[in-house]
Amino acid sequence: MTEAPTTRTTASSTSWAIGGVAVVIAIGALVRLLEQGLPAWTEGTAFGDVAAAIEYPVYAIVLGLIGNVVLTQLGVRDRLAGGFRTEFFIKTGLVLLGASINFSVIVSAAGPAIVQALLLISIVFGFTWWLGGRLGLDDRLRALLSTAVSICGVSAAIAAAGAVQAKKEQLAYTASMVVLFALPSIFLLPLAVDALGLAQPVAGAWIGGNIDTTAAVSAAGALVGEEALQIATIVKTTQNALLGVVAVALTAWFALRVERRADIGRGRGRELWERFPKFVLGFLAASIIATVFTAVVGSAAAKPLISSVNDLRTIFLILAFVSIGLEFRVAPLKEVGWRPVGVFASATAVNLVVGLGLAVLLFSGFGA
Amino acid sequence: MPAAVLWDLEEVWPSRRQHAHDELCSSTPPPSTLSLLTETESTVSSSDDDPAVGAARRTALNEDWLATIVGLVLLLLVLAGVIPGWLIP
Repeated sequence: MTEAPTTRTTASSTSWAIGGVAVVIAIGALVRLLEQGLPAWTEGTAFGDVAAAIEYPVYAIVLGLIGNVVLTQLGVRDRLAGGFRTEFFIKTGLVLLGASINFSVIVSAAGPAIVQALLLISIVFGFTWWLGGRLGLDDRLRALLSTAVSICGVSAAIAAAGAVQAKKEQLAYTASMVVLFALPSIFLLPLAVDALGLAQPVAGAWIGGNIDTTAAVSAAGALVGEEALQIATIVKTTQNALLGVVAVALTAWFALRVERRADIGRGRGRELWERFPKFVLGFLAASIIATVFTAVVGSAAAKPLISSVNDLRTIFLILAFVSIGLEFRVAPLKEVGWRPVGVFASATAVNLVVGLGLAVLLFSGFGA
Repeated sequence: MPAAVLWDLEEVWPSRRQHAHDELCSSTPPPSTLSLLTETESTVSSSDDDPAVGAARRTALNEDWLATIVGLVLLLLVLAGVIPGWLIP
């Protein structure tokens, strides 16, 4: 007897989600139109130089935030939110980004990227865990905050939430905090890169190691330049790849030390694979395919095709950035109090300083 | 995907959110002493295995595979000339 209403609810949710995707695509189309058309339309006017300097992530995030406000006022934002698939759009964009990076660059950047990721994750995770403990946060929330700020934002928080069996409210707080800190970072880090006069590879390594969400890393990297975007993506992808290891370690820690379960040894390899972000494989595969393709058909023949792949990549990144703006919520943060926010802010500050040091140390003189 | 996650969770477990909300609103201490955040009360919920979190994780994993497949298929279609450059805005 309950099946009919359930079916109706599912169908209704799907319809709203499709509506959400349509909203993202419509705003994305407007972003593409503005990004391509505005510099030409305003050429020779006072606004011309500004329009030429504004990159697509700025249009996408600002229009996404405006859309967020409008949809919230209309009372439909939460129902449409099922279509705001930031993770899907950004991961598809990053797989396509792999095609624009010669595999030899990934191989040569992998060494410093792994060293940076291991050091940065250990230091930032350790600091956040320690500070969270000092301020009396629940162990599960500490684990979520530590993983989110040290690895890759919301994806990491989701993986950690599964590993430590956190509550959904704790996941919601962490996710909101990640986005709250990532949004200004998209604009502030490129400005800091300019102010510090950092080279593109160092800037990319700094951005990739610092900003928590992969989508925001791409946005900030794109604002700095193509080479910075490539290095930022490699660094972030390396951190993403380590997510599985951290999730399994957290599972073991909570089972052995917090819950004192005896069955933890079983199936750890399978768990590691389950929590490994699979898009990393797609990113590597795309780079190998494009590198082999270019070697076979020649650079001149491959260039226009790779350029088309880059256009596709930009479209997916635009959809991801629009979704970031549409998804942003402050409500969960109002309930949480100052302590987790303080922990997250302090961890972000440590991440910035240590990340800058490691980026300068490991990526100075790197040529992509 | 914060909002998407929240939305999914809302669908899976609306009553728990309401319960948590009621808990927050009715408790005497200020918001900074929320039960979700304190060491002492965390033990109360330590055995509380949240299925909604598992559902969110599975969604993320599925999107992982989907994004990988869609990205690689699009790449191969462009390289094979099936999707011409002029078709991409």
